[in-house]
Amino acid sequence: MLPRLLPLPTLLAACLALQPEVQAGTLHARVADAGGRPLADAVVTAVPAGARPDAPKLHAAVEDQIDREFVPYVQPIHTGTSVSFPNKDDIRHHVYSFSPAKTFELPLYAGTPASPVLFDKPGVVRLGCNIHDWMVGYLYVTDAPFFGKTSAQGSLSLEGLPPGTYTLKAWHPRMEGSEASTARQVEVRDGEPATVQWALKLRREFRPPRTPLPGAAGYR
Amino acid sequence: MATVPAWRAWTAGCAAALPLLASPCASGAEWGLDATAAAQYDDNLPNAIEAADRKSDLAALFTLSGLLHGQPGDSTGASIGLVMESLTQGRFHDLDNLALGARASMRHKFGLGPDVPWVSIALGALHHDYNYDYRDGWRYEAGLTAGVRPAERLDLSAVVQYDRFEADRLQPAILPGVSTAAYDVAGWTFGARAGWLATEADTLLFSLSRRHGTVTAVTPPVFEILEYSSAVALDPVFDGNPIAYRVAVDSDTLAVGWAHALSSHVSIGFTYAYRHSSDQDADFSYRSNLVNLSLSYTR
Repeated sequence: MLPRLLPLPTLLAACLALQPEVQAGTLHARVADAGGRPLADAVVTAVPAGARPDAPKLHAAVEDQIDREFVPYVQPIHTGTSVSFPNKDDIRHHVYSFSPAKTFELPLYAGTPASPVLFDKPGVVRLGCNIHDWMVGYLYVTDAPFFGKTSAQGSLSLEGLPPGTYTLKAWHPRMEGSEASTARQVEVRDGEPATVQWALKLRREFRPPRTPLPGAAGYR
Repeated sequence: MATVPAWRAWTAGCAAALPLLASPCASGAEWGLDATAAAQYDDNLPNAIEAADRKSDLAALFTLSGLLHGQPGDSTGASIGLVMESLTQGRFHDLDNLALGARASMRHKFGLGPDVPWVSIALGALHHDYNYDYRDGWRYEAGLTAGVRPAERLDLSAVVQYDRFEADRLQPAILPGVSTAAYDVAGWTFGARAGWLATEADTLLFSLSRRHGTVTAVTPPVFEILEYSSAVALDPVFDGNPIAYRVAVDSDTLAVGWAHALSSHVSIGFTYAYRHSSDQDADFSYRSNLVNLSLSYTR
């Protein structure tokens, strides 16, 4: 007796059922200040224990200058990312950083500089403008395969994480203490979103005033 | 007094300087708008020596500036533009005036970063149109300021400034051989200033300065003051103080202030200044208390 042939759709469905299921987990992070108020612009990184999976990496990013401010104020990027610094103001800017992770200078320019800047070492890069001293921005350069920054509501979701144990850290430009002190071990499981929260104690960030001071005149 | 040439020279200078500033910057120059509304109080407007002659008043001051900002070079910023000031006194309306003119400034930093030393020069010329016409005239200012930010929260600066007022016209002589240019005054100011960031939005200000030069004092007719006066004019601005004298004094001013940033573009400010003035031989002196409350917008 000849074996009975299965219909094609049934065969395809059976083949798909035999494929290993791609499992992915989700991590919800919430960052607040010591008073419980949601904290925007906090960077959260997730590093899996053991071998790191291949994760999509951004190789290009943009840090704007709009209305004489760096936009965004904080931007996390992968190590190895080239960042362009388009100046969207009419006035020229002079962008620089003294940070050990990347020391560079883009002398006075308008528009977009021809060459982006490569950030090839992990660390925090504090940006400034030598014409407008109040302008401050941060690039957070990281080797972590998964990262993001919190919204105005202080929340962040990292999706597509392979199940496993992760080391999570939080960083903010105004945080007191070290980033290492925020480390947490979290288990990420398929279909079970993990949640982690931080309450960061903040220090004040003093910038040269942008608005006019009584009795002061001259260039701003 | 022939001030038309000064007006023309300044206008021509500004007209020439605007494109000079704008052209090298081409796409790198930007117009900005500064506006300030302030209430200011002076408890000795006439610079009177005797307590009985002191006149105090509250005034409303509005300032509007349209400034072209540019960067002539690395680490150098410059501004030039037109300025309008309106002053309205609460009681002494002959002092109400409208001023129109121009200001220019340039700041250069000696290096990279917010804490390097810097130096700036500022020039200004405004024509004041008073209700009392003999007070109309040109005010000229030139200043050199050097500063540094030695700590994240501290700004220090030192300033040298020259100011000069030239009235448009003179009254007929009222005393034989005595000039009536009582409003033509000039002086040099040397000062130091500190700004302390109390919070991210609040700056406390301290300044100390000495002005060496001439001022206009308006008092009742006093024979003794003639000894110290280089010019005398009739002045109906203050009730009971009908004579304006030009006298040379050293004025020491101690000022404290506070500024609070409401946003990136709006701030409020408060300053109190105590001023003590005396002639070089300390034969006479007078004092003033000045208070200013302001709301400023910059774009």
